[in-house]
This record gives sequence, C-alpha cells and structure tokens, in this order.
Amino acid sequence: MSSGSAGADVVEPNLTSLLDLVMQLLMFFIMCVNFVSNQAAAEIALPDSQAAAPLEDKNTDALFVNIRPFNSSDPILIGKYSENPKYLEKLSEKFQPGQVYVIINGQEPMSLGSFRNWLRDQRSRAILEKGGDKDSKLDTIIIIRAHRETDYKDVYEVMETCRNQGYNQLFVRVLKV
Amino acid sequence: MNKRFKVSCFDPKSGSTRDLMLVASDEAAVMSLVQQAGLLAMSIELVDVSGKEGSSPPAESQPISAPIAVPQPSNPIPVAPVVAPVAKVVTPVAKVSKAVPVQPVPVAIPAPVAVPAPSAAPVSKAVPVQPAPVAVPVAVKGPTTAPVSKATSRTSLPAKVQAIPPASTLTLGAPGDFSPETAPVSRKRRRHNENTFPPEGEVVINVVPMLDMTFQLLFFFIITFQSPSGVEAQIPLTLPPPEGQQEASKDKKENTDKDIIPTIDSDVTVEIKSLNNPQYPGEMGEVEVSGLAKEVFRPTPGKSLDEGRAEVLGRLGDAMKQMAQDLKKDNLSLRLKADPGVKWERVIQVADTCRQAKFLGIRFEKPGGS
Repeated sequence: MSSGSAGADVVEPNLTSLLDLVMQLLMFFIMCVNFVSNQAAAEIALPDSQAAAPLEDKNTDALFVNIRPFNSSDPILIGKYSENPKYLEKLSEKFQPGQVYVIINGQEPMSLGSFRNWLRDQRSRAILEKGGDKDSKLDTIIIIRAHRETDYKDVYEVMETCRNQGYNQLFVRVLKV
Repeated sequence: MNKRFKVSCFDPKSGSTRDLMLVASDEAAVMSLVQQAGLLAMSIELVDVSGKEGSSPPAESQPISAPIAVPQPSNPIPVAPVVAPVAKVVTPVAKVSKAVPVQPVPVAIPAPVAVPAPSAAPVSKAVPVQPAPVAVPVAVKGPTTAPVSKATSRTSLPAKVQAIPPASTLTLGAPGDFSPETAPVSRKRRRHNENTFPPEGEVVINVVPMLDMTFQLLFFFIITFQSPSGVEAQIPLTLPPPEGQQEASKDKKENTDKDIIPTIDSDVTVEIKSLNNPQYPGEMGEVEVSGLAKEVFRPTPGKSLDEGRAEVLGRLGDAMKQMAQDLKKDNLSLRLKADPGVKWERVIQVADTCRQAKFLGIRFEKPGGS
C-alpha cells in the first residue's frame, strides 16, 4: 500500500539524464570511429619542424604513406602494440631489423618493393575508373609520413616511386612545434 | 507498539455516524482522542494491519503523527458526502488511494485565514477541541512500524481531504507542532505537486537540462581542442623530374646566369653530409651550400653532437637569410640533397631552417653517394 500509493501518485521516469548519457556515448563513439579511420599510423614519430605550413582543408583524395624502419626494440613500437603482441611478431617475421616498411591504411605493412607494386596496381585501377590514358597525371595527393629515424634514401625512394607512378602532388608531414 | 483501530463514531453536531481509522497505543488512547474531537465512540475494533502490509517489511519504529483535519465552520461542503468516502476508507486500504486521489492537497487555502495556527496546530500533543467539530482529528504520536504509520497517514489524509478539503490542507501546511518526521513528508508532497503544476505567477526555471548541455559542449570542445604543440603540419615538396628530363634541367643549370632569380630549378643547393661515425648512425656532419656562393658549415671540433648540430643549423640559417635578402624575393626555392644514410629528422631540420629563411620551395634531390 505504501509503495503502491506512491507509485500510483505519479509515474514519470526522468529520461533526461538517460538521454544525455546516451548522446554522450554516441558522440564518443563517433569520434573514436573518426580516429580509427584516420590514415595516420600511430607508430610513426614525425620529425619536428617550425616553419611547416599548417594543414589545409581536408583533402578528400589523399593517400597517406607511412614509412618507418623496423626496430623491435623501439619503445614506440613496443608501447603502441603492447596490447597487440601479435602485430610485433608479424612484423619481425616479415622484416629484418632496420628494414624500412610502408604502412598504408587498410593494407598489411609492406616492404618498399611491394609498395611499388601496390602503387602501380592502384594507379592502373584509378586510370581504369577515370578513363585516362597511361601517362595521365593523377590528382591524388600523396602525404608522406616518415619516421624520424628513417634513412633519407628510403624516404627518397618512396617519393621517387610516387612520382614515377604519376603522383605529382606530394606533401611531407611533420610535427609543428 | 501502536495499533490500528477502526472506530465507529457518532457526531452529535450533524447527527450522523462515521467510521474512522486511528492509530494509538491502546483503546483508552483511542477513546480520549475521539472525545477530544467532540465525537462519541460507538464501537472500537482492532484492525490488524500487518497482514495487509505483508509485502513491505516492518521498518524501524519512528514516531509519526498523522495530519489533522481541522473543522471549519464556514465549510461549504455538506456533511453528507463526507460519510460515504469515509466508509470506503476503512475498507481495503488500496482502494482508498484510488477512490480518493491525493491531488486535492496542493489546492491550498490561505492558512492563517481559515484557522488560527495556535489552536489548530498542536497535532501531535493533543487534539484541540474545536467549537464546531465537523472534522475528525486524527493525531497519534508514538512509536509505530513504518508501513503501518504510512498507511494510516495516507488513509486518514485522503479521507479528510475529501471531507473538508480546505481545512485539511490548511492544517498540514500550518506552522504547527508537527513532529519533525511528519513535516518533511507533507512539504515534499506539496513541492512535488507545485512542480507538476506550477502555480500561476510563479516561474520555475529548470536548470538541469542547461547544465547537461553545457557539460556536453565543454566535453566536446575539450575533445576537439588541439594543443598548439604537436599538431601535424606539412611541407609541400617538389621532386626532380624523371630521369630523362633531369638532363635537360642540368643543361639549363649550366647555362643559368647568376643574375637570374632562382626558381625551383634554382642554383641554390643544400647538401647534407653524413657524419660517417658508426657510433652515431644517421647523424649529419657538415652542410654544404652551393649555388650563389659555396659555403660549408661544419661543427667546431670538440663540441658535442647536439651542440655541433645546433651550431651548424644556426650558421646555415643566418647564411640562408642573408642569401634571401640578397635575392630580394619572397618565394625562394632550393634543392636539398642528403647522403643516403642521413636520418629523416636531420633532413627535415635542415629543410626547416631553409624554410625559415624564406626558401619555401624545397626539392628533394636524389641522395648523393657517400
């Protein structure tokens, strides 16, 4: 009776706080998804720069090329993948210590040679879609994110590969300090 | 231990009978209560409430005084309808709450006008004997189990409310002698009902949604805020043309007049040499600037690696700035070349130094042989 009477009095659950929380969670997950779909690989420590230009509006058609040498004792690699030791194992099976590998979003880490092949396939597919001829230039912007320990020759090789495949707009990502 | 009593009373004023539910310690107390109310008790019956309240466990005893209904001489409500609901009250308790909704409670009537507080208020101590007692003072103070007392207050309250709505509300709200346990209950009920139906002229601002929204926005801006340090930026770069055309540009370079302001095929070339020290792989040694004037920057011997590099970069920056001033052009460009084994970080440092000196276009050249 006591509880029944109180319930019969007014039954209106307050949904406001519940909705607030739901919206909060929704927003959180939306932002998380955005981070995941970012093409930037987490294991790249970019070099610092003061005079670099700030990023322009997001290029819809950009290809991020992440480059870094494999080093199984690198704290960045260990730290980023401490929860995912299989990734490190896979890397060490695939690459020699010091060997440079390329990370493209949605692709397995690849060596420079397989990157060249992959980019060629990518180009021919893009040309098929757009219907240009073999030598036509591509609008896709290549954004190179090279780890600071990478040798110059390896970065240059990636640049050269991109240029040879007809990608002429290249940017180098740095960390603005 | 208080008990519930069902009392059949005769009201000499109206000449009618009515049933009441009272909570008291024993029958004598019930009798005195009824007498104080100016009624005549016809029969007293002990009602066992614990059986009906089986679902809720008995809580700790607490003194409770039920609200009083104070008679009002000028009460427009006739007595006849009073009797019928009261009879209902005594029967099953659950029905009472349905039959008599609590909503009349908020319909408050100015307390001081109807009843002088001192005479009406002393609820818990003794029920005042009113000159025209139409209503039933139901006031019991003493330890009782929680469910029982609640039931009592609820049943008696609606009963009174129906019987004499204005007066009952009155007494509830009047500044009286309520025991501390009772007062908050009645106030809470009133406040709640005021929120549901805000009285006319009273503006209630609900700030909770606003606060929620504010925190939401705050959170959003914190998340989207990017600290000035550590933001990614980019350097647009130019690459040498493919092999075949490179020869042509070299020819052009040989023919370039010194007075011509450099374009991207500028004569200014910055070359980073490797330190060639196995202890420090990838470190840069000297930096050579060729073009307008050939200059080589190398660290002073004896300095540490970091100091030497800072020195080289500083001198390189000064020289490049001087060169930029001499050239009197805003958008300068140069070729940047490095030994194959130089770290990318060092290459970017040199490129950064050049960019700070207004050499914005940087074309990376094929690494030189080391």
